[in-house]
Amino acid sequence: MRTTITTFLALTAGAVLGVMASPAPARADTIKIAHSTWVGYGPLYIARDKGIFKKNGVDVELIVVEDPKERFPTLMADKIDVIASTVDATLLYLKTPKDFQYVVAIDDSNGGDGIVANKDIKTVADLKGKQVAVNEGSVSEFYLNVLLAKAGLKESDLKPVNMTASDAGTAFVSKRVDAAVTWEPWLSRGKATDHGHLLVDSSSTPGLITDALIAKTSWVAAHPKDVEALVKSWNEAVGYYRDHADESIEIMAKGVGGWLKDPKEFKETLPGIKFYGAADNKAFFGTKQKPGPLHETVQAAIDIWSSHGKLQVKVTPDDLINYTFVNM
Amino acid sequence: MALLDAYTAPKKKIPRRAYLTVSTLVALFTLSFWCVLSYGELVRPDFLPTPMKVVWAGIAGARDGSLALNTAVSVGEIMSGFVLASLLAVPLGILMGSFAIVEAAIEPIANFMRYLPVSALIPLLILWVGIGIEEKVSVIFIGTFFQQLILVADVSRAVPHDWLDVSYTLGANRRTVVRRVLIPATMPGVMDSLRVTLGWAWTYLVVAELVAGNKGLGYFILNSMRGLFTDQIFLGIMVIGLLGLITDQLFKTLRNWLLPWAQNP
Amino acid sequence: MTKLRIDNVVLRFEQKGGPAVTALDGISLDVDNQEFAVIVGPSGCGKSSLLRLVAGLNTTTAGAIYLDGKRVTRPGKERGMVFQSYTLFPWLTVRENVEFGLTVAKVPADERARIARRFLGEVRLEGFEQAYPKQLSGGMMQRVALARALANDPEILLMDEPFGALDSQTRSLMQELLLSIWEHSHKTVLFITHDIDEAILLGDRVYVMTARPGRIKEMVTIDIPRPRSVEVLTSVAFIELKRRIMALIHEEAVRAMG
Repeated sequence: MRTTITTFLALTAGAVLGVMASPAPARADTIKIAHSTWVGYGPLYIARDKGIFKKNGVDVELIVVEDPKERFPTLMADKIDVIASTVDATLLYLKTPKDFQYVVAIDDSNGGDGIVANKDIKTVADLKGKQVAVNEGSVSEFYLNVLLAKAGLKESDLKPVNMTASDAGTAFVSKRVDAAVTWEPWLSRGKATDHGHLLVDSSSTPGLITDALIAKTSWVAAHPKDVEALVKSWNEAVGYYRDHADESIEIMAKGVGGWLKDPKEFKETLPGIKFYGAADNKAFFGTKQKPGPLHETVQAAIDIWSSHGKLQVKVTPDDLINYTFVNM
Repeated sequence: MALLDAYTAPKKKIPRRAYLTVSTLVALFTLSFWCVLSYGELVRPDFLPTPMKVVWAGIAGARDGSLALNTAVSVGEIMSGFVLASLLAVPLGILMGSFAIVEAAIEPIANFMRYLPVSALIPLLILWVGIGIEEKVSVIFIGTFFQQLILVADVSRAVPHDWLDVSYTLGANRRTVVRRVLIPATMPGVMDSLRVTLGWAWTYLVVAELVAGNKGLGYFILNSMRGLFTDQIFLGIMVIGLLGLITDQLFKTLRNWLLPWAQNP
Repeated sequence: MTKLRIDNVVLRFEQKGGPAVTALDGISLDVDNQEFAVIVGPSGCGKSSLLRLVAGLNTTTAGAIYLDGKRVTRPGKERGMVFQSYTLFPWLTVRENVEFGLTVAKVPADERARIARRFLGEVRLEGFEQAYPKQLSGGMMQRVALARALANDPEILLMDEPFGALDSQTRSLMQELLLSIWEHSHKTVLFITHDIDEAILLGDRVYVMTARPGRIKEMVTIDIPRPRSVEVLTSVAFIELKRRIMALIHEEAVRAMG
């Protein structure tokens, strides 16, 4: 009995230590980048697997953290160096004006996000007084508020119902709500119902639902060469995709994995976004003297999240936009 | 040495004062540890709030009424789900533990459902139950019911066989044995199971308030996670912990009042 | 006059991963009305199984059991039983425990109370009516169990090593108590024990069981006159009977060991 217990304890201790031991120790200058499972981040894997990162002198580890409310803390805790996230989300986690910076834009939602609604809701203005499923504190809510502002409405003019984007899709399909702010595949499924149609999607508002690479301002200041290499690698990877689409899709699907690991599925979801390459980034960021659309998006995020009481810091877009690297 | 002996003998009671002293000391020690970590900035301030920050968040919540409202909403959801689950699980569990045919019918499914992550069932719940308060109560129900079933069945199984046998030899029929022996015999164990599972019910609060939640402590915590407002996160956690302590104590008192004849566990 | 007839009873049951086990291999014995019959035997010989068959808690594989000429198939209040383990219901007071059989039979409250009081008096526990079992010692609990069984006025009282869990002092006192109660009630009793002294002290007839598979090895009549007291334990007649029964049991114990 005693030897059995001893053996059991030894095995358990061994298992625990084995789990705790880090996998292959990263080299001192490995840059950790965290992202969610999304087609937009595919080129990161092209940069990795085609040796683009290496060629530009950086060693990168790509890590999946699905939810922004887990991903931002990893950045704030210095466990991750760079994260990919929507532009608007950054404002939610800002504690001082100089916490984070956008260094390069990744992709823009081009129909991959949108609102499905009952057929009798023909314009955004018709959402007044309706039950709309939307994820509070997320890019979906941001998107909704921008659209509402354009139609002269506020969120309080509707009956918002809080739930994740996929639950919102489910709720709409089950006729539990009048409209849902969601993303694919729920936009297609909502369209396919008898009672629903696509009210609007992100293709009509370019530059609004945009992903960027974000890092701590202090980290950027301490690693300018690395950031330059990252941005260069990203733009090159997008270029590679544009020249070698099929091969790239294979690499990206395999790399991103999750529900997108089938290249066919990956390819089908791609049209919902547009990658930002070198030229796109220059245009999107602009310069400090002549800012591009990014400036407007960040300002919209500041306005909306402040009015919701979720941003309590006084900050301007120029505090957060790093114009340097995209213009190199 | 005699003192050490008196306090380290298994199953031996210690004086009430000693018990309270040890509990208070450990609580104070934990609080001090927290203070050292937070005020001493041994842990980043935006990840571990100081106790005072949490208190301020609490005061702010009390002042604008949101704390009371969120607490009331969550308590309502938890209690509804828990009571519904208990009403069904206790009789079913007692039967399951004592009648092999009931066990054969229910136990395999119950054991399977017990391990399911309830959050994975949310889409189905939206489809079948909706997005109102019923969906939240359903989450609490599903999270609690199957655990209670298994626990109560075990309690029922533990009723000594001889007690049932002796009842038969005193002239009782099967129905009388269930009513007059099986059910009273399981009461202490059932109360303990309910006390434990009420604690587990609280852990489902965040999942319950994911969908169409705009009030409640779970929603409050979730919202605070977006933006990493750790003082609020901790406030939410503390309130839930406190509520758990209170209900635990209430259960213990209830047990002593209703079942004075039962041995203390 | 035969009260209880055990007629060639066989008890066999299946065992996992092995052949069927024969616990009882053709037991026959009669218990007369108002007789105190004792079955004694080595551990594991099946005496408890036999008693449970008489109680109707199990069914025979072959053979039958008759009480007052009627076949026994299920438990009933005419065959009251006292177990070795403590079977008092903890949620009932001592009095409510004793009244249990009467409550089930829907006897009116005041009569129940009267009967309970009487039998609690017989087991010398008057004054403990409102106590809960958790406040009682082992010996007291068995006394209540005895009162509970007797209060139901069974036709035969079955006792399965009722004093086995008690210390020897308490056991001795319980035996005396049982003797005195029996003296003026003369209930028919079938008593199981492994304690030879107890068997001879209490019984009119002692049946010695063999090791498994259980059979009746021999029947020994205890001709020590009644009323008996514990002094009888050191009498010559007692020693003689003890020698005889010990030899029989010893034979069986050796056989059981292999």
